[in-house]
Amino acid sequence: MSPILALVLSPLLFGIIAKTKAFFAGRKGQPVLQFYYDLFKLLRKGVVYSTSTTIVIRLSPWIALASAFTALCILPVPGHPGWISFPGDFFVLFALLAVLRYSLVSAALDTGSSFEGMGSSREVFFSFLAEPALLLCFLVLAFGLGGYSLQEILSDPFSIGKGKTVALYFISVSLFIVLLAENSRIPFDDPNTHLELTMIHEVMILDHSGPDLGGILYASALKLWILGSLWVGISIPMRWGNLFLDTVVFLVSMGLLALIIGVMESILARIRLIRVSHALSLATVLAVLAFLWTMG
Amino acid sequence: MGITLLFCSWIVLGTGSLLLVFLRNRNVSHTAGTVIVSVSSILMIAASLWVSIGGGSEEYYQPWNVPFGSFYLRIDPLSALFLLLLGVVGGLSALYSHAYFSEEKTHRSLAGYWFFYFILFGGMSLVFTAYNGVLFLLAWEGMSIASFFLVLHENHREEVRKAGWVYFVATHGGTAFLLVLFGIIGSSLEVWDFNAFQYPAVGGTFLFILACIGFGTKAGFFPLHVWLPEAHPAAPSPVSALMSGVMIKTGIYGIIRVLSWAEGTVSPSWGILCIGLGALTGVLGVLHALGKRDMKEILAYSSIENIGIIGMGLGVGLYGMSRSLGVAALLGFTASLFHVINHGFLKSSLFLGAGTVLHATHTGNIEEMGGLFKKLPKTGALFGLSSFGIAGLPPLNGFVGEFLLFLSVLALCIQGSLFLDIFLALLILLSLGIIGGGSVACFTRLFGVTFLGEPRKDKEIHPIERGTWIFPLYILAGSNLLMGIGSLGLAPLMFGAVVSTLPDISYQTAIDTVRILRQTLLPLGMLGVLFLSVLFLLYRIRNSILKRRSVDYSPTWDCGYILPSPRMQYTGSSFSQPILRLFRGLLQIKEVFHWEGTLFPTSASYASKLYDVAMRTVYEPILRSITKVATRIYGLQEGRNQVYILYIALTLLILMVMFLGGIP
Repeated sequence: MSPILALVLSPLLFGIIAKTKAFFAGRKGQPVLQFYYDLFKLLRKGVVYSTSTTIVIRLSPWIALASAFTALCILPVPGHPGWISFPGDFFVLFALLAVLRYSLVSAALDTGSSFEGMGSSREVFFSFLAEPALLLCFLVLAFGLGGYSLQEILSDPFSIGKGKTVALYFISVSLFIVLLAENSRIPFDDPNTHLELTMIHEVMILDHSGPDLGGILYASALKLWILGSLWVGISIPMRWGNLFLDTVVFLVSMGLLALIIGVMESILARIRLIRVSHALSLATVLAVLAFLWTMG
Repeated sequence: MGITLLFCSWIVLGTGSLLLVFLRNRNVSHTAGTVIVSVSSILMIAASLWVSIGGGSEEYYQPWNVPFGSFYLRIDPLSALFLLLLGVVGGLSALYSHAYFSEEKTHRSLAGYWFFYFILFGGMSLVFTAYNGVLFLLAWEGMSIASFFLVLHENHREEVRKAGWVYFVATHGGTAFLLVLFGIIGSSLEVWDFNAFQYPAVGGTFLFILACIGFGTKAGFFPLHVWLPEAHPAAPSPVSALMSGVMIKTGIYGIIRVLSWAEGTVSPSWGILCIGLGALTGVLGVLHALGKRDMKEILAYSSIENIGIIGMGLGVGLYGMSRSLGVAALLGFTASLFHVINHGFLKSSLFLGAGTVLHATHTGNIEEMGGLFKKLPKTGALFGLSSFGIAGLPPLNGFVGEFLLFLSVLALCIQGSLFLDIFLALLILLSLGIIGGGSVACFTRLFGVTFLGEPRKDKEIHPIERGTWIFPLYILAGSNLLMGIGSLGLAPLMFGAVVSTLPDISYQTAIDTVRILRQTLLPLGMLGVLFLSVLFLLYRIRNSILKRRSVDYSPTWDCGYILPSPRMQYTGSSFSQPILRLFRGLLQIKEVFHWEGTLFPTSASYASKLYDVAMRTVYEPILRSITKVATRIYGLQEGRNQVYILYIALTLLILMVMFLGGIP
């Protein structure tokens, strides 16, 4: 059930973010469903391929989408267990996100454009910094809760025990930083600019068009959904044991997450590239602190 | 039967080397060499499969009048696993050699190449099966010397001779430690048979350190790795594939074999040592791989990185054994053996692909390449697939090794109670995170800069990819994918090798571990199949959509700039610069920046180079001080006989005074 929720609802997150930002800017803003319209529009368009490119750029959107879909299959959300659950599955989830990134970076390099090269260089750099933090967050949860799989960890993280809940707050913040960086949101990347020196994700897909672009945009919406529901699973302590209630709470929390991202994007500026490594090290440090806390 | 097959394989090699003496014609001897190794490798694979499927082990014993020696061979599941790797990689590299050298425009005989190839191939199989210390060391030396001559194959190039020298010194330094190790363990024995070897109750740690240095030099543990990035670019590509795919793994084999004598004496410090070494090796390996520009040098550093992963697996195994955390230990050992096989297959396919690139472009510098995918579509696709695998991404096999290591860390974390357990888990996980991110960066860079984009230099390309140029790559890449999806079918080989070799494993632990393996590897394979089928489906849908849409072609969008040139592409160095800049305190990066600094633009230049940190900070200072001392003493060496006679007389005089003076 949960993958279907993601497939249907993930583009809505972008709509909520955009609407929030429009509200802060005093604009009316685009419709909440704009992202769906964009996807359908792109599916109906033709494509333009660069003469420099090879099969790599043609395959990449679909590799990205396939890996996002596979990740959805092991992702449990409150109230809905994942389709497949096994010990250590969070490492697989983590690796599938790397597959997604690998395909986008290769496609960017395929065009031979210096802008896209720059974007992909920054993409691998940021994820290089974000990966240890993400892995550590999972390890803390596994260690604290004595669980081997995502299912065991996310079913009720707040059973971690008295005095250890502080660790959960640390992880929650750390995971939120990783989420912003991995999804190329402000303050790490500005999804709205079309100026090459500030953007990362947007610059890597400059040469994608038509259904290919649609595939990539959809994959990035799914990626936001995946990391977002992990964050929600850890940060929102409410579990009712009732399918309907749990689903409603989960969806409301996802909307809340989009709202928070929208607010942050409205009130924060993008940080300087040099500072990005500091912000991401903060995520790792927080995870290490959480780790020490769970041990104590 | 397994032993008989192995003997047959050696007989083919032996008669083949005699045959080579009589074959004068370059082409005939070349083909003969290829055929001989192929036949021999098929026999070896058969021997290995016979033993592994049978599940037991086979022995052959013959007394030998060499001191401490006996002709004692034994194929147990551990040997069989390594023989399988050797058979596959050795045979395919031989096939590739056939293509690689037939294009050479010389009349130089290849008999020497094949002779040493036979010795290397046979020597490694003897290393994996010898069950006597003397026999093992002989095989070890034969393997080392043969590979030295193979590295020197293109000895008309100066850098090749230098690399050969570094390799020669390193490998013999390592062997010296092994000699001491065997000497100490076997000091009370008449014959150095492995089944009689036993660790002493005290001093075991010292012996283990000796083993780590001796075998670690071959494997490439930091800081003993310095020969790898020298020897691999110098050697012909099929030799690099064989050395990196199999030969460095003899070090891992050696360490595991040595551990089988350590019943009950394993101390936690061994595991900590291995984990520390592995983490250091892995992280520094991947960082150096990011900073290098020579294709094969990058691959060599990536081998070092993977040896680090294997080392961490061994470390978890040892640490778990000493702390009686059985499941973590078994998972750790299984992970490291799994990764041995993975890396062997992946890296040999990458080195063979690099050989085709080298042949096409006549350069190893990735900054002069680009756009090779269009010239070499098959090689490009297979190289890309293997890069994907070695970056540790599912559904290929590289991921399975890292996944098992991760599982063992998880088990260590959850079963363990001490602060140290958790600290080690944290250390491994942090290094795995850095290695994971780093290897994605490294291999997108390597594949992207060489095969994708536009050619960075205007020069002639000689693309060949037919017959034996490409056939070995197909086999290797195909098996990588199969191993990734069918890991459950493969894991019993590694698991069996661990259980049959190492002492102190209880039945219950083994059962528990098997259960975890089945619980994880089966869904992992299913996810792999799911991923591939979703990908296939999506791509089919895309194709059918695009049939009804317009598909146009135009130059890459460069933000309105009308004259984009290939020189404007992002280079490999700039791609990895941010990560290297972050670690500049740890690495030896030399940057030279020239700029006049006026108000108006003038010419400026920038150059950077990454030096090996161990070479720069450990070996070069030591060698410099040795040379300094040596040059001081050098004055004594006068060259005149009269002076030397004076030295002798002086020595005698001093001795006489000492003797008469009663100084003992």
